[in-house]
Amino acid sequence: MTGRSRWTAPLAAIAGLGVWALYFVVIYGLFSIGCERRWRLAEPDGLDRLSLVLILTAVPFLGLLLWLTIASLRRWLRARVEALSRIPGAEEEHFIAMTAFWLNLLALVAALWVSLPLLLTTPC
Amino acid sequence: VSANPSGRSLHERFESVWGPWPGLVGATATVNHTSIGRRFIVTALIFFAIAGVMAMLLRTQLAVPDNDFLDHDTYNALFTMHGTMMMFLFAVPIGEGLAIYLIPKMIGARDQVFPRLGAFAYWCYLFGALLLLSSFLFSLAPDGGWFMYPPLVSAEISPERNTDFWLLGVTFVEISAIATAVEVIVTVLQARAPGMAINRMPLFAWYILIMAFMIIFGFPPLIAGSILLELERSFDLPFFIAERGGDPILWQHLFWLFGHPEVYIILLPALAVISTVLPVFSGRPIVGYNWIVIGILSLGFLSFGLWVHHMYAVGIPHTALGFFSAATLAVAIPTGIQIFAWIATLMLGRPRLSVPMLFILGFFFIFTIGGLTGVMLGIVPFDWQVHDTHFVVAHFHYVLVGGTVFPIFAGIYYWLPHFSGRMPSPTLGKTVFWLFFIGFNLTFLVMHVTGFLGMPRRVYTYAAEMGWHWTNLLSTLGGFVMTVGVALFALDLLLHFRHGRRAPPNPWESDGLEWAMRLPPGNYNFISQPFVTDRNPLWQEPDLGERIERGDFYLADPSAGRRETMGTDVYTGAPTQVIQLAQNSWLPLATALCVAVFFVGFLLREYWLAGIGAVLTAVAALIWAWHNQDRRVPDELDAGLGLRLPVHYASRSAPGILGLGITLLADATLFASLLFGLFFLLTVAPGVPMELPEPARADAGLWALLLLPASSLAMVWAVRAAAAAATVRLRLALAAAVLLALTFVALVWVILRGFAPEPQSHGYWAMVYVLAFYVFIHQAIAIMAAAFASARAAFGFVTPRRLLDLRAAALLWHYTSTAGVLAFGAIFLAHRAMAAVAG
Repeated sequence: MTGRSRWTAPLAAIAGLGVWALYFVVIYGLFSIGCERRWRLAEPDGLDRLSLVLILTAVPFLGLLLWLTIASLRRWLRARVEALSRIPGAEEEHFIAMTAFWLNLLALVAALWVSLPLLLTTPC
Repeated sequence: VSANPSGRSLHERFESVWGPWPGLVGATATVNHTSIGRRFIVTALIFFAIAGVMAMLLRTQLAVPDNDFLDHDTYNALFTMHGTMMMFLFAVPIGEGLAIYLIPKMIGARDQVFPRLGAFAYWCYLFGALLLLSSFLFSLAPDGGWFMYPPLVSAEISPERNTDFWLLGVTFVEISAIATAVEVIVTVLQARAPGMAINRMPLFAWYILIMAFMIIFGFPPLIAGSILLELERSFDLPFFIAERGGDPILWQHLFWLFGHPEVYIILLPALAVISTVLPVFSGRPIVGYNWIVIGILSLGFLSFGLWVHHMYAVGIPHTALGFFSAATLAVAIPTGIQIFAWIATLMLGRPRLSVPMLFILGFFFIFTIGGLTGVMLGIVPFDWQVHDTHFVVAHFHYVLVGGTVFPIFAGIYYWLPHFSGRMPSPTLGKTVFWLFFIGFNLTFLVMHVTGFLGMPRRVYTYAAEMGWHWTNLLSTLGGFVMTVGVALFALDLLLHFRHGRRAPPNPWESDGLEWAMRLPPGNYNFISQPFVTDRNPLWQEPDLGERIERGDFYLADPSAGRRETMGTDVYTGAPTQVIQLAQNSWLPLATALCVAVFFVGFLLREYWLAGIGAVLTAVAALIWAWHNQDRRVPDELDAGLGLRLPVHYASRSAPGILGLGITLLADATLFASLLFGLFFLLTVAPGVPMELPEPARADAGLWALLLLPASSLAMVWAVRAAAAAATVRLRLALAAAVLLALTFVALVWVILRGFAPEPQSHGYWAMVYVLAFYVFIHQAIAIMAAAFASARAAFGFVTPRRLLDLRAAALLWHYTSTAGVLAFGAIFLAHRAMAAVAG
């Protein structure tokens, strides 16, 4: 395992879940403040202001999670090839890369799943 | 076993280095993980028995309507202490005890990397528990429920010390949990046997690693909440008093930010037992190792997003309920992954039905029911229907007893030959299982119906016409059957240690390294530390134990008289250093006693005594740190098999740095919890108007913040000076750092006092002062660490190769600077923003 990947590989493994946790806190925090401070202005035929803020906040987080998932998939595929070459440390890197991909994918799915209430319910 | 010319065997020579001091007094100085782990387990089982007796008293009271066996005050105290003891004094510590005892043995290490910290953790656990239990002696047992909701436990409504016993006792025990977590994390990451790469780690170690990280992030919110509630009760700081800008809901958030991860903190060691025991009795490696690792890692994260599902009924907006309901349902997936992996292992193997396996099958049945009722409760409308009824009580007992007690019993029967060198009795073990299993289901399956019939929790009696008497009577009968099972378990253990049949080596034909040693094990674990090439080392190489005993591997020569274990790379398991471990010492006991003086002083509201306790603790910590390094040990050591490695004092990856880093993570979580409190009271707490002073003075504070990064730069300069052996420059740099920090403290204090009203005036201002004191206390500790490092340099402990003391002081310093900038930045900017909004 190279000096750089010693740090980036395990961080990449938990990055998705970290982003998920941050997303959860930010959305819940914004939502709570918005409701308390009455950001919500009823728009009879469309989204209210708070819902719009929440959805706009969700988009970059979901985008970041998608990017992390794709990047970790690429890394896993690369590490798989290297693991066959029996280079010292390649097997461990493959294990971490594979774990990273599945964790990032899971974080993406979890983020989408907890975002559903934003679309399906009215806030506050 | 080979011998040296003096005629003593290797075993005897290692024992002379690693053994305990003689006598009972000598035993209090033991730091070895085998002894400490056993003490944790035995103490936790004693508290399990005491809390179980409390449960039986509660069940007796509820057996018939209009019963007067217990009065309502006693009933309140008993259910509070039953829950508190089961959670804090049994379920968490027994998992920790198993981890402390087993982890070094499973990963091929001689001990944990910080043995004194392990001993300190045990004493904190014991003293905290005794403090909590001593409340019964004064008829002041906590009675506000195990979650201590204000305003019920506020000074106004509960002026007696019952709540203080809880807050201080539980916090004392939590210090123990955090110390254990730090030790376990560093041991798993840095002290595995050579060759044990991260993908060859036993699953048990993965589970414990994640549990330990969850303690690091999960326990500090409750510690923060307990500090705030104790400060409110002692000094009238209104964090949770709505009339003065506080909010009781803040407590609920802090409590459940801890409380839900706590469920998984309890669960993970139990699941670790299953993932270890089940493959052994299936005669094959576990199916889906990678999937289980992914499952528990995601479980560790997702379980932090569920806390509000304990607060569905407090009036939270429905979209937020949707978030938490979704997260609650999502957490079933990683749990499901593990269950499918276990089922697949059973299907593909040749299962043997033994006592440990019976308990695991019992777990499957009970935990699945608990999981299903958990999914039901995760759905908001259903939760509202059964909220605070006995249905909830039945659900969490299915999860906690099914998920924890059954696997823990499986683990105890499985590792009994390890603890005692004797085999358990199958007949008694099976009888214990059936009594416990039948009794449990009779008690709690029926209790679901009691809940459906509408019986609320925490009522000490009920009228006959409510129609709850038959189900309650059945539950009580079941409880007593279960109690007979537990009593038989205790008898079984007593008989076992006296009359059990001698265990052969590796009696269950297991795969783990913990069985590659004599039974019961020597205090040093392994005469030589093996090279591991497989996830199931004993299945791959059945004579590994004999080779280890012969001294075929690393560090097989005890002649230097030092306690040593191999330090390895986190990922590859390649040897990196030789870690020197502490000898027996009374420092852990003495330090825990000093902490106890602090807590008792607070409990008595004799703050001078608490102050003495704090000072004594600091002195004990400095003495402890002073004994951290042996200058006589050379920078490089012979590890055996022709390998020379640096001693850990001279290694870049010394465990102390990682240990401090993990401790600071817990500290940062505590800090984040306080910051959360600040913003919570500023934004969403009930809008009680507060005094808004002139913003200009606060602005000056923002400039003062620049002093902190400057002091951190001075610390970087100090480390560089030490690396270049420039003594004068080192002292100058340290003095500059200290001077800058002191100037910062003085300046921000004057500025803060210039604009902030008294802390008693409003919950928000109380939180501002708490954050300020958090920073000041850290500054004091950081300055003490810098002075300590300077003294160590003067006495020759710091050399260009041995920078450990200075690097540790610098890390602490940088953390303190960052916390200072964030805390005061938030205070000054928030004030500015408020003033802008107001004006």
